[in-house]
Amino acid sequence: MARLMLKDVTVRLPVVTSFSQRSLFSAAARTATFGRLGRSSSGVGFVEPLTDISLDLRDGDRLALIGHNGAGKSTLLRTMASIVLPYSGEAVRDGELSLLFNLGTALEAEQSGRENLDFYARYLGLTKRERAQLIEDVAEFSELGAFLDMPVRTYSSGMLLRMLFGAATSSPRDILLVDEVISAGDARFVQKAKRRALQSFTHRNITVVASHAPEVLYELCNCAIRLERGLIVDRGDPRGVWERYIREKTETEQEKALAEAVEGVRENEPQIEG
Amino acid sequence: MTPAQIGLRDLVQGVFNIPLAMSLALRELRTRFSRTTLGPLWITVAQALWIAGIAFVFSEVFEQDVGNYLYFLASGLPVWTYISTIMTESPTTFISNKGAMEQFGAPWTVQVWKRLTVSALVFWQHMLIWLAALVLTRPPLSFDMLWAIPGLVILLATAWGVLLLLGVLGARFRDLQPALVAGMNFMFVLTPVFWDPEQLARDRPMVTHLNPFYHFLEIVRAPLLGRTVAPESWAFCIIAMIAIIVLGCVAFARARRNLFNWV
Repeated sequence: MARLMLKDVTVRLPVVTSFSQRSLFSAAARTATFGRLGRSSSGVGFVEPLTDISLDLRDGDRLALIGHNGAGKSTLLRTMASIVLPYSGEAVRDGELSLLFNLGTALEAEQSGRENLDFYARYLGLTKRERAQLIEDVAEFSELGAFLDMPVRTYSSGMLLRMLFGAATSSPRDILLVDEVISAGDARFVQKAKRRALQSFTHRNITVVASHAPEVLYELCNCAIRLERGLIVDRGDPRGVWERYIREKTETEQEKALAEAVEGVRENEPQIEG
Repeated sequence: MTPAQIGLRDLVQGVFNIPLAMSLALRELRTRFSRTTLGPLWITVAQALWIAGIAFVFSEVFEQDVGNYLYFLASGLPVWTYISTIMTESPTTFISNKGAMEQFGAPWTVQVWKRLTVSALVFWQHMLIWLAALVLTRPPLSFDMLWAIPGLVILLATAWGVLLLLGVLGARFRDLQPALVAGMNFMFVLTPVFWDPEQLARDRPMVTHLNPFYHFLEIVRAPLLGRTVAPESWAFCIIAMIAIIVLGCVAFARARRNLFNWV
């Protein structure tokens, strides 16, 4: 029985910069859409990438996180994994985690896929036999073949994704959290990933996926939320949430383009006269 | 759970993950020397050359018997190298393992145990030179040399605390590491590592009694040289060990909320 519950979770991250960097940073932070920029009483600046997030995920929930860069998707995933801890509110988790947040930073580039998988399995605390099983399973899913014995620095991002997704879904864990990386997969991978996600966790799992690829979200998820500046602005089925997101995005872009066009005409006027 | 509780749970789970940390340490050493012919033996070669160089020059300068001086160096330099490495590398304990901290959901203190194991393995490689010097120069052996073992245990336990404490502080204060690198070079000359405090014409408490590194050097080296460790050194090291371990655990538990953001 897995469960993942967030109650009024607000995340604040202190921004540590040296004095000379500070003004530069605040200028950059204002232009980036990275939540709200504030200053706590201690004088250290902070950003608030998540504000009052409430979620309740249970067995069988496969949640899609939608939103543009800096909307808080990655922070939300890291809060679910207790890597980032809430400033206020409560995050309750019942179940073991399997994470896929990046491709490769924790891998040893010189070592083969097989050796890296062995360490992946060691991190999960598996016995020697279970480790061998995991490697076999991943070899079959990833279709890496002879590449599995080559150093991982020779892998493409698609190959890394196949290997790491295979490993993350092969481990007997209840909760799977996947960040943006999944967009590196092709259509065939998405199909396989769907089949695998449905197969290996039919009754006992929670999956949370952040992605910019609608086909990934439609295939893998059965519910969705959209984040905007750290707030949940939309909930529903993945297709509906995604389509509303795209519609609003194009509308704001059209408005912007229109505004710029008008601005451009005004600026050009004197030149026409001259 | 509060951040502090999560931090404390991490510390406890870290202990259960020592076997994982050990295999990670072995892997790190293997990859550090991957595609080299000598492999980890380079660690021994580097230290041996250093000791040979200092022995060659300074036995003349200090007008000492080469054999005695060589044994003195081989007993002290590896201990100093160990202390110095721990001090200069501990600020990056967490910084350099960010990927592992967010990828596996394993306790973060595994990285502390990993660093400790790597440093202990490197120290063992360095002590091979001491073993060679022992065979070459044949100093008088006695059972009192075994006092080096409790000394070593205290040294390693303190190193664990330092890795944790400075690992947290080093993630927050990026000046710490370059400051320690500068400081440890200074302390190398100040601490009686390649010269014997017994050679000093008068007592200089700055380099001995008031120098914390001197005491940690002494609890391992003095027994190897057939000398008795001063009770003051034992007392200082045991108190420092407990204080640093406690401070490290408190710092980690308190910083748990922001640690990932700092690294």
